Amino acid sequence: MRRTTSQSDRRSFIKYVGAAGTLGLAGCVGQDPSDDDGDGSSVVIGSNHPLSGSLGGTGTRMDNAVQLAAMMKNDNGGIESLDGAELEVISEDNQGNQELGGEVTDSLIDDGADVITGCFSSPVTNAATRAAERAGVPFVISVSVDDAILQDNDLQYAYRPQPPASQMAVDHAELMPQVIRDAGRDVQTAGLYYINIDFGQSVRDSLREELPNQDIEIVEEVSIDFGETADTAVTQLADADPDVVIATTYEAETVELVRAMDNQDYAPPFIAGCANEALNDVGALEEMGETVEGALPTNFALNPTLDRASEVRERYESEFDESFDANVAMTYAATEVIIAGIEEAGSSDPEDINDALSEIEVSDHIAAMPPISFDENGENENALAPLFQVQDLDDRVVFPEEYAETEIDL
Amino acid sequence: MSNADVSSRLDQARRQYRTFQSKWYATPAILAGIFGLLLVLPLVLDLYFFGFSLGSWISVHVLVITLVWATAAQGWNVMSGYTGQFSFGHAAFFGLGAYGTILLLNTAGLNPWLGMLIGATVASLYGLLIGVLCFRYDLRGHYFALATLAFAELLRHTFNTFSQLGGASGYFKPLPRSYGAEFGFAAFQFRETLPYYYIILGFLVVVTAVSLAIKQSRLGLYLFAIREDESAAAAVGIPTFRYKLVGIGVSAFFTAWAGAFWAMYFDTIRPDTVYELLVNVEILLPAIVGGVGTVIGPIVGAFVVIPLSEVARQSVDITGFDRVIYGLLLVGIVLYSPQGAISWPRRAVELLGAYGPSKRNASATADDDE
Repeated sequence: MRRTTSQSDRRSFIKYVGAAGTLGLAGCVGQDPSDDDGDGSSVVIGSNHPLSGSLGGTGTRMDNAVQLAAMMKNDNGGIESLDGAELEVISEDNQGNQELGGEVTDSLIDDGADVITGCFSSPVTNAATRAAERAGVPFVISVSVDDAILQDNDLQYAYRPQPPASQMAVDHAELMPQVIRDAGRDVQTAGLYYINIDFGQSVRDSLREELPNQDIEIVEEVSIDFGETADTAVTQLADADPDVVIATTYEAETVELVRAMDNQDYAPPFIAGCANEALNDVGALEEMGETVEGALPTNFALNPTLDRASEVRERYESEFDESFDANVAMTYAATEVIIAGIEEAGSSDPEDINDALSEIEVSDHIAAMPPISFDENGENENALAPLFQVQDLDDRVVFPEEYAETEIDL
Repeated sequence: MSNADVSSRLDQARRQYRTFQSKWYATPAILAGIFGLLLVLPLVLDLYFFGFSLGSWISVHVLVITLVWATAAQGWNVMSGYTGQFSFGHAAFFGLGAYGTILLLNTAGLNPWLGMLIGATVASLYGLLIGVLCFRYDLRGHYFALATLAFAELLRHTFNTFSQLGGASGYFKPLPRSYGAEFGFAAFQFRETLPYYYIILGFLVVVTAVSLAIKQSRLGLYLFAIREDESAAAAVGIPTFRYKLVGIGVSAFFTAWAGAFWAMYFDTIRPDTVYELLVNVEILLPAIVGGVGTVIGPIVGAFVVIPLSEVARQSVDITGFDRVIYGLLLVGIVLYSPQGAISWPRRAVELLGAYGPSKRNASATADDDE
């Protein structure tokens, strides 16, 4: 009897609790109360750069360039073809970590990015572009030199305004000897000093192919890993005694090269750089001092003959209190390409933007190169890396003539 | 309701739980419940309950990572949990699964599903090699753990050194079109995260089913006998060497599945990411936190460890401080719950039993999985 009562009590209890629970949940379960589908009045650019870690300084400056390009477009009335829609930039930190390239891209897309730019480090960009391809979101590379990113993967959603490693090497191998020889000096041998990762190796491989075409023999190749000293490398270069030492590294490794050269009292006739960050950075040039005076780096560049480029540079320096280097210039130009693509598409839909980018020709940009348009691989058909010379510890474009801001001084 | 009624009901609940635990279908039923829950979990992440949603703390991506480590831990458990041969080098098998899949895909254009099976077979053979070398010389305890770690490090340095194996840069996952496929199940690549979740859930179901089948079979009996007292097991005629090899072979095979999935889920693999020391820890931690030697433990443990780390990361703004909180919580769990998270329901019921009138069988304990 008691058992029956207990069972009926329990049934009643479960019944009432179940009914109450169902009613309660019905009233308390729903979608995100703060859900906002957006009003379509903005287009979102995702910025995937290293904001911390060893590449954090450069990455932050590049991220600022993306922000500035969007800011200046918004100041000028926004996207005209979208009735003045504003550009919004969302940034995430890839820490220069290969594994985070794809993750950050996915995260930016989840957060609403319609188009993405990045990533500086080639392995990170390699992962990031694949993630964008998978999601069907266009990716305009800000700075990354490795040929393989676009040329080995048949990507339909990735574009690179800057010259890749092979093009940089072609430009360097052509322009640097030509300028030296035109000035009445000679260069017959070269020593290569490069960072021992994809970026350095790919430029080295291209220089191996191109320099002999210009009658320059490579007499020594030395590599450096992150955090290493360059003493042994400099000893090897000094023993080989090349006419020109060509450095292909990030900032720290070239600063280290110069320190070791000063220590060993080694001064080759010419110092050059191919896709070299340090020789285009005013801060690094001041740190390296007189040793690099007259150095001849080849890199993508801000067009010094353009008034608008000077305005951008001034605005950047006043806005962020940072130096405006070649990486910043190229990132700004890449963002200009993105903006032109959005204007052309007249839409914030990634597919439409991608269609526009694949056909676009952008002549109104601040980079020292002809109008930007892309081939079937997404490479810029007119990419150019002009030759600079370090003069008074400042990097100045000296060749080709249409972009030169000063004459070469040897 | 009077206090007496409450006590009586608590006592009744405790006895019902004990009775349920003793049934043969207890573990399969609990597993069915867990997998049923996991089946719908991603679909309810964005629902708000009383203004709160799971999705604000945990994403589908975090769930995927959780299931990867649950799968790997389940594999580790077959060897280390069942036989007591504590391995600290399962990254070797995880890495071989990852590399086997990606390397064959990049170099031979082999479908990743096939690559996964080949990678898992290679991992299994490597496991047998480790087993033959270690068990032949009767390595146990710390020495066996160190030996397995050495074998994992050997692979890390090998893959790091030889460019033919990808070198330090490793491999990037090729897009489906490069091996003549479209995004989807056949290509083992998807545009969204959700299909990946169901793939790894499927892996976990298979590995768990195998683990349960082993545990409830004669093979499991032998493995547990080896764990309890290897000398005694050998004395009664169990060929311990052979069964330990079976344990490590099966364990390596399924741990490699988790590695293969990892390679197909992320865009890139390198020796430093799939063979690194931390991977060894990530593999064994869910099993230890959840309950070593149990079938449910690695799954529960993974859901304690991985989301805990994520929640700590999201809750604390000071860089790195989340790891401190995470570490402290893990230390607390391991110290105060040496039998793992799997023992929490039983301990809760026992705690409730303290309020019940009946103290019969108070000291009786039962294994959750039996």
